[in-house]
Amino acid sequence: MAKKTRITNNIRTLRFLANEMTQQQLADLVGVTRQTILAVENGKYSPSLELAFAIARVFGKPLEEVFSYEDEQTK
Amino acid sequence: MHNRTKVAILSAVSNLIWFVLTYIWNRSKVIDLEGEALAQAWGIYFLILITGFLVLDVLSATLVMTREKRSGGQGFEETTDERDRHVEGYAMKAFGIVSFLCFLVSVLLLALGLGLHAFFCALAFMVWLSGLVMWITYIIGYERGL
Repeated sequence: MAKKTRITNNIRTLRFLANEMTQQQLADLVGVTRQTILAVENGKYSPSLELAFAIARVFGKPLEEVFSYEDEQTK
Repeated sequence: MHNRTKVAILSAVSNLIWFVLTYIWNRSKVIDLEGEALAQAWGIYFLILITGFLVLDVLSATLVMTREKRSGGQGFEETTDERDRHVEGYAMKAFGIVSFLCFLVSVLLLALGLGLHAFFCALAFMVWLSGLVMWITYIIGYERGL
């Protein structure tokens, strides 16, 4: 049995709610490139804990409201 | 498409062209050589090959970043972050593994008595292939995720 895990996030929604913050603005606030924010939003890259906390702090939310961990079991 | 993907594609293509051209040029030079003269000719070839790769890689990066800067991007001023280091780690690992495996194959050819020509040909192929695998890892890392 293989276990598939994925980290999803609400960054796009939270950016929209935060006065339509751009990816570049968020990237500047957390100290990464815009491409990295794009990759995180699209689920192409799982951020480090440090970056995840930094993103959550920008939106003033706890980590689990920004990121969630999906646990799928495939037979 | 990520800037580093463009650099990787351009580098991979230019390195392939450089490898094929220098290989054909060198083949006609070393075909009749033996012993010390053969080793020396291959040594010169490797210097030319690797220097060419490095120059082409620098040119590829310069071309992509200059174009990016002209179109309003950050170009070379773009910072390196944790994702870049993550992808780079995988790329370097892939480069190391392929280099090591290809070196083993080259030595195996030598041990099997296939001669110096086969050994040096395999080494040249190794230099190109390990670079190619590294660029492919960059492309996969930035476009699909690792």
